[in-house]
Amino acid sequence: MLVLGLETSCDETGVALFDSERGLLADALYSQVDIHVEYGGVVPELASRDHVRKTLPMVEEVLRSAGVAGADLDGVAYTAGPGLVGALMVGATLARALAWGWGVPALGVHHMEGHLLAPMLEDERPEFPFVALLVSGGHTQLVRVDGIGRYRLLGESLDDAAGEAFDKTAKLLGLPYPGGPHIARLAAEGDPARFDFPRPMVGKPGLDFSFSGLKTYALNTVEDCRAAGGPSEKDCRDIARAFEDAVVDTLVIKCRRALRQEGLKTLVIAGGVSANRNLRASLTEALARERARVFYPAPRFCTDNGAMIAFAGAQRLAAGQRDDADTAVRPRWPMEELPPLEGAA
Amino acid sequence: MRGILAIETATDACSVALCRGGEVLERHEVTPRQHSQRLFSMLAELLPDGRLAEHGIEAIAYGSGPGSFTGLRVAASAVQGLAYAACLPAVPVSTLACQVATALREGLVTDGQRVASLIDARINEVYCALFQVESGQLVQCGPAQACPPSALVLPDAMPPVVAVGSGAAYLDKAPAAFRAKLEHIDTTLLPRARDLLPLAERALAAGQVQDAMQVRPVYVRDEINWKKIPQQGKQR
Repeated sequence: MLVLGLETSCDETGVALFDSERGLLADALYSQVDIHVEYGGVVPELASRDHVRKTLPMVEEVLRSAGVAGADLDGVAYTAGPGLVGALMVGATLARALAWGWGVPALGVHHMEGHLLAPMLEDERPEFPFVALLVSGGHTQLVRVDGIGRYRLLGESLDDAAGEAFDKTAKLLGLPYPGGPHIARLAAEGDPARFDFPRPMVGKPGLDFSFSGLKTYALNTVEDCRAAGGPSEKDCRDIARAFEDAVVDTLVIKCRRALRQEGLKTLVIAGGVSANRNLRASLTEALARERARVFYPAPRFCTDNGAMIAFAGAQRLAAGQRDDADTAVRPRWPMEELPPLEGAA
Repeated sequence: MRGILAIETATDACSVALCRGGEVLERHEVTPRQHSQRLFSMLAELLPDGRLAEHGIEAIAYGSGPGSFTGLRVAASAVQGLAYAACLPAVPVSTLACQVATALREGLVTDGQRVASLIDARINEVYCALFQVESGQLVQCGPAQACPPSALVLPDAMPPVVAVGSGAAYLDKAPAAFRAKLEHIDTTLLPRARDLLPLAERALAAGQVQDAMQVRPVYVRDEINWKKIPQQGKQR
């Protein structure tokens, strides 16, 4: 099953070619961060305009580098949602036009299913069932995964996604968008003992998250520093450290709780925030004590990418799924609505 | 006529047409905000499989704009994919010109007349270009622009003008001198893909073609008014 995958749901253009026998044959990724940085966040219209410029040249690059002709494909997969509607539509329309022109099936893939399955692109793959932590700028979810398309939401953020809290706190500290990597860089040199941020909702039962209060706590801390003539560079490093520690601790506590509740020993973590080194180290350590294992995608497949869409698409196309003639993109799309796939991967 | 597939999705109409062996087939639906959803069903009604070259298609024409940003991207993305997959050239045609060709075929304008082709540009503006019909051909007089209706102007010496398109609904806000030149207004006209075909055939004959990689919407409104960080006021 040789599948081309297109990802255009937000501010990254990803194109990749996956083969069920040979694995990932080629992938290309372009980030629009430089376009959006002066606006302090993603501007949907600019994102859509850029996808129209970038996606097709990347398709050609990927096919050429793998020495594959379009008509050799078994299908074209694309992100059909969730995401920015205008951005989704560019990838969806291009993918469906390519597929129609080549005479191969097209299939719209769920973005979060792509993230969830991204660790399966690695040599060491997790086995079902497992608990997945999906953690990005748009999502913070704990999901029980019994197979492809067999998902049960265990908990999610009631307000800001973890990545969103990173971005907003970075903005408070005068750091550029996207804030996650900048916070992590400052935090590495920060004093962990100076500020003590709350760990939201860990005292309550259940697996939901809340990160907006943490952002407010960061704001108040910045204001305190300002009253004292700051915030100095050291203040910013220490605040970044306290903030990151609070987010990481909260995520670790909930992951451990989810594994215990479900009686499982495998955790998969995916999405942009899963690239955070502090989070990876803390989870690995905490889960080793539980004799559980944690699986991550390669860092380049933590953020949005085409490889995960090609992979997820290949599993579903192999099971005979394909778009209807009137398939539409789905900017909002609960993952639990996905049809299950028996006996795959 | 040559074998051409045409796609026009810049307005509320999702419109596709096919010229093959002198016969013109068209699917035309008024489906606001559902173009990307409907487009492939409509194409499949014209050509059950996507093998364009085998069906004698030599080029893919598209309404390049101006119009709805999302609509323009649906056409551009579809044409990129079809032209690339089938190794065919693309032929961009102004949506404002297509609209005048539709008006001409439907008898709303006749030879020798001037036409103001207008499309609703939202945020109280219209897209506008002027055309003259000469011996059945469209001659565009000046570039397409986006402006408030109050800024529309016509040269003093210009004879009476017919105004067509969704943007014509805003002409009550045009200056009196502009309105005085209007001999007829049609606000309901939508551009149809079948009217791209003759325009594309001439462009094709003149070598005005694009490679799939060059296919782009012509937004006309390119200055985007989102505030950059220094303009966003207080940051903290």
